[in-house]
Amino acid sequence: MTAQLVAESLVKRFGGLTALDDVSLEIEAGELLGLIGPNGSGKTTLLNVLSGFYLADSGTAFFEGQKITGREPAVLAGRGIARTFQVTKIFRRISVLENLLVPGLVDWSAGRSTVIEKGQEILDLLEIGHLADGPAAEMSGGQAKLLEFGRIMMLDPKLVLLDEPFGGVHPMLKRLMHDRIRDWNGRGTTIILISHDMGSIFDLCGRVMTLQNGRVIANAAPEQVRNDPVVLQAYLGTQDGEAGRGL
Amino acid sequence: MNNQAKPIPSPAAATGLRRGILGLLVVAVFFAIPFLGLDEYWIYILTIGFYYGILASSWSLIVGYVGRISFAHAAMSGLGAYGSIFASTTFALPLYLAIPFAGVFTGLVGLAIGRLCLRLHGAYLGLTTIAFSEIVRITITAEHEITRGSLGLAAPALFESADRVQYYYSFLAVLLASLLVMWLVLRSRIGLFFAAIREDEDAAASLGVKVVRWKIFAFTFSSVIAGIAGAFYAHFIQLVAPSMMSLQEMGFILSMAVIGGFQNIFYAAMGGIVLEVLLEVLREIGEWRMAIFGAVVILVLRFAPNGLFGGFADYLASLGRRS
Repeated sequence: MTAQLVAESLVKRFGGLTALDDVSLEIEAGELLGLIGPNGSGKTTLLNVLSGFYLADSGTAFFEGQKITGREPAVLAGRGIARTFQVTKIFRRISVLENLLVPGLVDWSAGRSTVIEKGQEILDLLEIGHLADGPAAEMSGGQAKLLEFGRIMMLDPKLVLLDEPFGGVHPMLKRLMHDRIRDWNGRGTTIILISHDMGSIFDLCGRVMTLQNGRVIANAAPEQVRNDPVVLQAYLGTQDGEAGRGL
Repeated sequence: MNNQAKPIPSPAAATGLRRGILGLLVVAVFFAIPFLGLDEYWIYILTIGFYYGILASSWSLIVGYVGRISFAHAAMSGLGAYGSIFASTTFALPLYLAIPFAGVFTGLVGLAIGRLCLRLHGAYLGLTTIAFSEIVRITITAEHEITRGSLGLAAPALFESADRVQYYYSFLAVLLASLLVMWLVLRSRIGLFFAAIREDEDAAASLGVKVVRWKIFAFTFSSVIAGIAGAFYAHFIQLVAPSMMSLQEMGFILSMAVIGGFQNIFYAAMGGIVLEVLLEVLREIGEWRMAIFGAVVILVLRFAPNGLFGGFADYLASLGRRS
């Protein structure tokens, strides 16, 4: 069976810095892949290449057999690749519901009332339905993360790229986000999750890929990665089993 | 018995209704003005105010709604003016065709500039449009044999009679029509895409919004409106000169939109009308008017970023919330 997402030898350089150094990966449809690594290891750069925000210097990526490297982000969103950002990027000066209408109305065949109904349903599911008519600027950081979730749910994506979704989020909201991610994945959506929250990574992901200095240093089941001395060395500067508990 | 409560009108809907009524009142006042015995000179000034209202509101469409700065609006208006004159004289088109031709012409120019620089982030559009404005103005000034340079080019009149009131109502109608068209676009899904682009281009693109396409559309659309406004202005004034494309003229349009409230096309239009009247009222102090307007722009940007009319509307909304 062909993998849904295939990346072959991706290289991305910024001047003298090689942010992605010959990165290859394959993801089956419906997989939930964790992407970890120290700061500056190339995780977000990989997401930016896969979502069309960066042009790879070399290498190619395919989604459902079609080349995606070098395509515009909006085109990739139309093909079912959605993403969130490390620093939340909500549209602050429009209402919460209008934030969801933007992706909903991108499809010109969609009627406004149907999109509004769907948007309200998603907001209710995320337990922020009561904020629908208020300005997005008044949301807390955690609510803004949920709103980003909601926006990409409007796209009914096949592949979701989540960049640090749990950063600065209240534990209760985090549990809600876990439920939504599981629910999404349970319905067949492929997910790549970047997080420094190892509890979430090992709790949610079926496979974990580790990057260091732009290279893949591990790509295995969570329990294997957790005890991989190379990963421990990269993350903590030690192969000590004690320190490994942090992972 | 039906226990369902009647829906309570939301404060936002009530504020919208109040603003709508206020808007209709303002339009009614403008329709009534010629019947109030106002001097013909002021009818003439208000007619020019309507012209500036069109320019200020269509400029605010790019800046206030899409978040991109352009300094080409006066040049677009000038291109529309010259385009319509050439279409109606050299090519002998009737004015009802020459004026739309001017709109199409400036739209094509806007499209070309948009395609050239709207892929780039940051200040590139602003810098490119300054250069473009000056190139157009200098070229028209230099091509004396075709354009008569700074002497100005005569334009056929819009109407056979020189009745100022006829022009007044025509310009008022053009202003209202352009505001209506812009409002319809802005309240459609396109307006939502504009807002998303203004707030965050990357986020908009990640959600499927074709950012470059909509920025180019906004720039082209506002260029068309500026071109049509310039064409009407040419056939009203009946003599156009390259000075109508100067950066000082662009500064007027910017001041009008900012002081009125550039985040709302209606407030920006009011800024255009009111500032044109004030320019005439303060004519005695000469160039000091410009310095005063510059200072007011700075103060408004600092203390009333929604402009004077936007600030007034916010005040009305706050009264509504309290009641």
